[in-house]
Amino acid sequence: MTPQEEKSLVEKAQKGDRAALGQLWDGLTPKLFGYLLNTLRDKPLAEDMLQNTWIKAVAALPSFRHRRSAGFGAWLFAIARNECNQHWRKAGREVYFDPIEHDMPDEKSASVENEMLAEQILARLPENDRELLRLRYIADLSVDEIAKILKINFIAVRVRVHRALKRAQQYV
Amino acid sequence: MSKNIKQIFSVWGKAKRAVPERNEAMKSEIIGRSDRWSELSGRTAKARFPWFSVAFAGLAVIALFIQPAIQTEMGTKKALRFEDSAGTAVESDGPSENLGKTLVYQDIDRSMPYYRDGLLPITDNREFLKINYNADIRTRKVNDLGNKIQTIVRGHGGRIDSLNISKKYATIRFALPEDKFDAFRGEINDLVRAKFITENISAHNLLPQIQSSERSNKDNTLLLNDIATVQGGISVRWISVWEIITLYAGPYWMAIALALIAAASYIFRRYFFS
Repeated sequence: MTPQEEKSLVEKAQKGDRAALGQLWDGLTPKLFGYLLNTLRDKPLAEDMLQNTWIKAVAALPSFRHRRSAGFGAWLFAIARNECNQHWRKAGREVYFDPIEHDMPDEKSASVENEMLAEQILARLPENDRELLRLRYIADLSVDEIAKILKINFIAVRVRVHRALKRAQQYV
Repeated sequence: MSKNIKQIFSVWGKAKRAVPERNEAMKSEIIGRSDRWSELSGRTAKARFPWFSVAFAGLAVIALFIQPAIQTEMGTKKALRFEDSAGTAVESDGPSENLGKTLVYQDIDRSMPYYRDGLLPITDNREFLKINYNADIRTRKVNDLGNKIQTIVRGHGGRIDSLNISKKYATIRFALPEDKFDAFRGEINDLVRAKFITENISAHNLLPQIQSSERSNKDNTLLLNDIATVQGGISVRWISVWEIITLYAGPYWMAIALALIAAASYIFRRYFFS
């Protein structure tokens, strides 16, 4: 889904077009759910968060205004991130990365080795780096969009992603 | 090498994307209820009236009407009354209106009716100007400034005739040679910024007295000495921060500031909380 398509669908959805909202769901949910699953490491919880995120997004959709630097996708991920933060605040702790217990790669996947390697690398990276890589590669967000979500400068995001990749490279 | 790691994460990222098991059910539920949520959010949006902005805009309007009245009252209360050596009363209209200005009066001596009535012949166009100098200075450090003024007066060969210094108010009456007057004025003006000083210079011609003494063949040395002496008074008053802001930003600064806050809060709400 290109940013223009996304913008057009959002405008239609704001006018009450259910089909457009359905298309937005189809385009964004795999990324969003993948991100939530990888962040929370808990499938039922990720599903709840996904639902909560969409409920909040749809409820606030009439007041959403598209910006060049951050579109609907980035906004949705920002809501999801807030939901996760709220959950962790209430739970009082963060679920630590444990690929063996929670997130073993799918055996049916064609690139199992690659996934295992990526997971092993991620397990050795700090949480900030993991979050950046999730937003960059699972959510497929641009540097500008990540900057908006994390509320930091886009240059800082670029530098941090570069450093995270550099650190990851050491573990290959 | 870097491309390699990027490829690894790129493939990983794509592989991680997934839909929940109850995807269709969740989708239908969300979309099915979207109308109700939109309606609810519309109601919420209506309820979210920009009270903050409106409140500040209201305060700005109130300040627009009230602030000049407050300032007028403050100015009236603090109006100064100077009296020069000839007994001519000179009144300052208060801090905000006259500060930073220099008022020069070519005053007529009211005690000499024939002069005022034009009985003095114009054939004698000599000028024996007697200068009186008064200044009103506003400062946050009254004591320091009072001491500096004394030093300046004495430094120019003058004398202090009376002195009254308190925490918030000081008056200094002095006399100094006329030839040092310009240098003295320069130094007094350098003490504070132009906005914080009001000068009041009056001069009147002592020609009638000179002519009178000439007619009666009296010695007019005393009169000439008087002319060669500048007399005056400097009033130093403490200034509040409110008055300083008013001096710099004008009488409507508070109304403008409140209006700006209202506008900024509205813009902030409109573009950053949408």
